[in-house]
Amino acid sequence: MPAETSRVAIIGASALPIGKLTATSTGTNEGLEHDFLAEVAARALSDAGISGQDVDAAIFTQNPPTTKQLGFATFMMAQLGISCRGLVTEVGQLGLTGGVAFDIAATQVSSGQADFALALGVVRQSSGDPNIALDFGIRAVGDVNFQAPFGIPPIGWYALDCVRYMEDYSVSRAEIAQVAVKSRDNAALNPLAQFRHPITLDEVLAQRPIVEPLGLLEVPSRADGAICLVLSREETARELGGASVVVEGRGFFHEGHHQIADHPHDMTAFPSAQIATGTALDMAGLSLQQIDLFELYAPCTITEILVTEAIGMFPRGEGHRALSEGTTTLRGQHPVNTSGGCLSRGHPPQLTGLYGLYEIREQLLGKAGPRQVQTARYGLHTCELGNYNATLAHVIGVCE
Amino acid sequence: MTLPVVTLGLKRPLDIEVTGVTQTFWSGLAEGQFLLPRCSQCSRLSFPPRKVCPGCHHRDFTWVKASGRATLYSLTRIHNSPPRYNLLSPTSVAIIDLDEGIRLLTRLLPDDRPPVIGAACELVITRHPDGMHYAARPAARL
Ligand SMILES: [Zn+2]
Repeated sequence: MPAETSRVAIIGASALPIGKLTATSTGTNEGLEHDFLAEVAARALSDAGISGQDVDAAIFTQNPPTTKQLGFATFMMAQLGISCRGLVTEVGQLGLTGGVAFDIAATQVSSGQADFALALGVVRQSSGDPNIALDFGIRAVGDVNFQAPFGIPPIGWYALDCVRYMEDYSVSRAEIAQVAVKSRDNAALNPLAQFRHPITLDEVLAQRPIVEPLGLLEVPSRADGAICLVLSREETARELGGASVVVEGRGFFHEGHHQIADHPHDMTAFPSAQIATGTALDMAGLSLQQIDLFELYAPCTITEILVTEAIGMFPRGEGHRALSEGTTTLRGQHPVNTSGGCLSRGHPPQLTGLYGLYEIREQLLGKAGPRQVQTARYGLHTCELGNYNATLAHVIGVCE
Repeated sequence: MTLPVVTLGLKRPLDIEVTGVTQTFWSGLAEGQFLLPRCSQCSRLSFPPRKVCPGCHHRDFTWVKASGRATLYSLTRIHNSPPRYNLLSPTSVAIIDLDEGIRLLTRLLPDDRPPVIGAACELVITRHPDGMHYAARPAARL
């Protein structure tokens, strides 16, 4: 029996570029959700150097409401011809979804219930009715009788953060919007990114408003994707001999609020991010200064600034200075969202957690090409739900 | 004392389901009152109304009339709402802090006075063709 404390490695991965999984030039769909994901899963298994018969568990991210196929997890395993002694299921917790799929797959491995586990999912909603996704988002982030009726979508809550933050710290929209430019610069170097042509700050500020003060390029676009990570115990990874990365630390915290509490609190403080990240760093035995790159769940420009402040990278109200001083750029002291993040790499919400972990693995294995962070040994990943009411953090390191 | 009533041409927001837990609140709007449940055991005020006090898990409440006086915590204008929500585009929402110590999200009514973060605002009852609802607006001039 493996020890309870077995560390978990990511030994293989594959992902589709984020964008639209829709139609060919002739108008025929290239495939449905399960077709895209089957191809990605097969590639991830060969990247790991194992076969489908080795897989003992598969944790799927829940599909968006535009997906017709239900019973997706077991349907998908039938598509792949894989039987499992561990767990096969779908999980869905808003923006946490990808991270939760990874977390449960890792627990399957560390507990010995699986020698090899998959964390995987697909989002195909770009071609569907946008009002279905919008309505789903509104109902997910608000009380259905007392908040949702006012029509506030997930990004609307970040806009409320933004307005309050600008007032509290005398920060301008332009200072915050620089995050969009930096994200695009990184995405330009990422073959998986949804948007790769450079943009200027003036262009960002000139877009039509979506949730004021945030405009089109300060919020994420609709996006599709498909991704699969393959996990095993660290010692198994060593036996297989391929390059891999390991989970060094993990933390979670939910503050007990859904968006806002009915008793006033500091909405832009994101305490869950601070606590979950602290727990993950403690477990890894690392300080924030030892982290070489950060993939932080940040659907809007303001969200990246608030989460970098919350985890202790910058004092409150000063996170925006990172952009003008270059601290969070690829060559800066603390590179943040080297993939291009939600804004430019793209944000299929259920998959964003997995794409963030994928980017950290690429960086730690030295496979990030022109966006490679030099001598990257440790990466920190967060995903969240609500208004960062909950955070799931993982510290990933190189498997030496 | 009752809260100001503003008549709006739009139908009420969608999907409001009145239950045994919330009926007193919704009936209160028709009488010009915004009612907050107070826990009979620990005195915690809650909003929205609920079956179990989040402070102590007690299940009996009394109802307190909100004064309507509040402070604007934050606001935004949303430019994209599903059509079935019966909202103007754009539609304004605000987070307000009632003087009673309750924070809530609500519609922010258009007003010739621009809303100011941290400034006084007030709760109003909104009358729609199909019933009553509630909103906030900058506080009336003294
Ligand atoms: Zn109580």
